[in-house]
Amino acid sequence: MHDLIVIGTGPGGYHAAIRAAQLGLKVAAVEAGAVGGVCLNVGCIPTKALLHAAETLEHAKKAAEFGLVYAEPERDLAKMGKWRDKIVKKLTGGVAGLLKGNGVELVQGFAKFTGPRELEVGGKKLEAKKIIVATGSEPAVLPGFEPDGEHVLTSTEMLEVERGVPERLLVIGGGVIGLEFASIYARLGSDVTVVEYTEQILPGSDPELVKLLARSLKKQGITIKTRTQASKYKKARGGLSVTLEPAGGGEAETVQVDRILLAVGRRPRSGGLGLEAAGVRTDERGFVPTNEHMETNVPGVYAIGDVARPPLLAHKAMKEGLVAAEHAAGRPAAFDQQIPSVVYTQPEFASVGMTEAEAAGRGLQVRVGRFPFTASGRALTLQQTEGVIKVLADAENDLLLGVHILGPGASDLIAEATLALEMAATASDLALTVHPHPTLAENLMEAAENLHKRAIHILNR
Amino acid sequence: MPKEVLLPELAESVVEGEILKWLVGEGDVVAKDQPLVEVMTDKVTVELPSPFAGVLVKKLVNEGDVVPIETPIALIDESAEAAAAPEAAAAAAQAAPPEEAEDRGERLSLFKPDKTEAEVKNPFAGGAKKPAGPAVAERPRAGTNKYGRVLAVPAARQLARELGVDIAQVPGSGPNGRVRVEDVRAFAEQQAAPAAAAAGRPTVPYRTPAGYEELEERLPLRGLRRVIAQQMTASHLSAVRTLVVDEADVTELVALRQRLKPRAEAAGVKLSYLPFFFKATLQALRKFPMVNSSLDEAAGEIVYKKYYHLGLSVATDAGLVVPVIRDVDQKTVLELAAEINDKVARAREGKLSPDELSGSSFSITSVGNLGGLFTFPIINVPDAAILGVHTIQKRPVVRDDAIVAREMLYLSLSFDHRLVDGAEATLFLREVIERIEDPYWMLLGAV
Ligand SMILES: Cc1cc2nc3c(=O)[nH]c(=O)nc-3n(C[C@H](O)[C@H](O)[C@H](O)COP(=O)(O)OP(=O)(O)OC[C@H]3O[C@@H](n4cnc5c(N)ncnc54)[C@H](O)[C@@H]3O)c2cc1C
Repeated sequence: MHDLIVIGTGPGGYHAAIRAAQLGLKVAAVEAGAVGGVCLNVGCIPTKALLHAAETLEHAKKAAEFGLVYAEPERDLAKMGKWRDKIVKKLTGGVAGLLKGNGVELVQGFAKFTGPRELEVGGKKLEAKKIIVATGSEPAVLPGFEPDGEHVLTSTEMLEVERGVPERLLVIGGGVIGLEFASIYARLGSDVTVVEYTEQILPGSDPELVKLLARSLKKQGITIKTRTQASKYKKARGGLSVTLEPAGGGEAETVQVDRILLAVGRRPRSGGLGLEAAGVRTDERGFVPTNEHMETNVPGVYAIGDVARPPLLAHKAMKEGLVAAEHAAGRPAAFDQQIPSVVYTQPEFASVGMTEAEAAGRGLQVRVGRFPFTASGRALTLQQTEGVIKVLADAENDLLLGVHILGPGASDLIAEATLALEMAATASDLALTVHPHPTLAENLMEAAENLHKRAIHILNR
Repeated sequence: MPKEVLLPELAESVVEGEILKWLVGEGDVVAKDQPLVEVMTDKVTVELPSPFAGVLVKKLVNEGDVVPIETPIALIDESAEAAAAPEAAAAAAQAAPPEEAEDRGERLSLFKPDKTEAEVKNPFAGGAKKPAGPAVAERPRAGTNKYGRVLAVPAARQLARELGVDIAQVPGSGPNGRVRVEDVRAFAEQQAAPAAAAAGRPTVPYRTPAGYEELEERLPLRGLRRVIAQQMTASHLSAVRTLVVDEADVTELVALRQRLKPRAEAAGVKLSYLPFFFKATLQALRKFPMVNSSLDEAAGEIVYKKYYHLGLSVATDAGLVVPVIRDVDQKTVLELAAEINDKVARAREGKLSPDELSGSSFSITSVGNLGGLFTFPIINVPDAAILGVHTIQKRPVVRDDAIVAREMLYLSLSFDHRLVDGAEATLFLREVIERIEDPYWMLLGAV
């Protein structure tokens, strides 16, 4: 009998297992696939590896501007794949070592509930006082575009650059995953088209910055078609013929591509798990609802990460894992934090807190400060001047409401903004804090200064 | 080794003092008994003499700090060389703070992890007791304010969870009402305190109208103003303040005072109406002991007082103070007049001792010289009531069906309805009025 069993060893699961073990619980973790889950094996990490590799090509080209001329790079996709795998192995091996080192028993196999306190794994019964469901998510499907491992691929398959770089790639879905793959393959030489059903790519994100990002992506040779729906495809001579329809109805068009990436979102992996046997409820989309302690409707059964609720982000899963483990160990813990999000396009897009639309929806008067990276010395030295920082504050009391960054280093800059939001800081707090120069971070300070019409490096109009 | 100077007990039941002004700088030589620092307590300011001679090596508290008694406030080096070479001592003070000070700083450090414990532990959790009663953290909260989220620093959120406090209920003292760690701890302590203690008071958030930031000036709430603010809040929150207003025809009293003035002056005393009001009040208090009582909430008892110490509100340049005239029942009108004059004068100069400002059993406030018909005075808690006396003015009144001009006076009695009932208060006020309307009768019973 274990104190706690965690199902799944993705970012949510391994965080929960390790924290529970730290708190003295006897813990087992069940994993049907590879330790580390989606994020380490086929998500966050391998995508970032490939993005870096592809970006390096770009940097090599841009070096000519300052007099470093490289020969045309040779592309060895097999080696790129090996390098990607090496990073993944190092990290997943590290997680396995941490689980072991903390005394977490790792059970390989697919877990199924047979009751609120018991599981079956490969015909074996496991019992625990408490159970955390951390089974993650899997790609959602689109009728007519069923992944076939050849023409229509999922993100997992697209990670295998060894398959070769298609001449023409169609990405269905203008969300985070779609845009990251579009960036990778565009740089590796594909002619990429992204179709997005809604008004804009990255639905829900700051429209002003999204527009700038779309412009940037177009410059990189990526065609973006919003309010467009891929309705069917057929094999044609020398490739695939895909029918695209305007979302609002109207004249359809046909594009010729060689490969299709299906990136229309992900769905929670809650089916086939026997949740019914435990009495755990799921909602109509398949997510497992919880309270602020990540506990489901069945006391002692928790759900965390992608299977629990959106946004589907690794750091959210990690925090939820810690909360669930601490609560299961009888500690006071609750999830009540801000969740930043990052898109690793070039330039990067990161945000935390409210958008202007959300603030307006709450009836708040918002003041906005902006600072463009074109005015940043550091950005110039990095040859990355695309993008803008937006700082939103309550016009009444200067309270920071949200920060949205399109630009170099956005993924790291957003951490300072997140801390500021957690501390209920004002825009003035950001503006008054000395930032080192020359850095990308100082532009956050300048954006906050611009909110009060006091930025130094731009005219505050 | 420098010695610590502790904040002494400045008066009975005074638990803290505000450091108003340092009279000696760091590195200065001080003689024994030389005034070292100005400290304000419960409405008076005292200059603390230095307990020993030496060099003031370091001030441990800043002006404006409120510190409990027995707190070290300064370090004085007594050694002969130090006394002889103040510059050196001053330099030493800058170079290396004395060990004790450093030690204490460490002990106070909230963020210093407990070395004996390996597990992750909230450094803020120590100190505050978990409140009794059911935990409130279970229900999900949303839409707690216009941001949909309580403004609180992460450590305060975590501490609230650990102490079982609903963070949405904690009044925040940070900018924009942000809840800080100290707020959570204070709230938890308040909840844990016995029910008799004052309940948690939500602070009223202040917000500058957008665009008017430049047209505001902010000064710290300090000194007498802070004491008054605390005192008034305490009174407002604890007493169930109720008002009764009446009027008195003091034509006779005016004549009597006019007549006695020269005699008093011959005795060297300026005679006002106040000593007469004091006497009348005293006699009425004797008939209505409830009005001369207090509620001891902690003990759950009513305290009846067989002494009559009457406070008198005095407006000074610095603010309101209430000197107390003790044992009014044992003093003649002339003695009272002399004492009142003396205390009012010294109150205006800020020269009263803490003992002269505490221990009232009832108070009188003389208002209205500046205008206003009557006031609703705030009770000098823990007194049960306060009497407001106003301007004496000729007003037309009806006497024997004819309108005549008489010297009239409004009196307002503000009383704590928990102790005194309305009828009782009204009758008490009548007793006072009857005496000041007929001062000769009053004097019959005077000491
Ligand atoms: C291409 C891609 C890129 C991404 N990039 C980022 C990024 O840059 N940043 C970011 O924050 N997020 C990123 N994400 C999202 C991120 O990967 C997920 O949010 C995260 O992995 C969710 O963690 P989790 O613990 O909930 O579940 P998962 O990581 O999905 O792990 C679930 C684990 O549970 C196992 N499992 C499932 N069911 C059972 C069962 N019944 N019995 C036993 N084991 C089971 C699975 O095998 C899996 O290992 C990306 C996702 C993808 C697909």
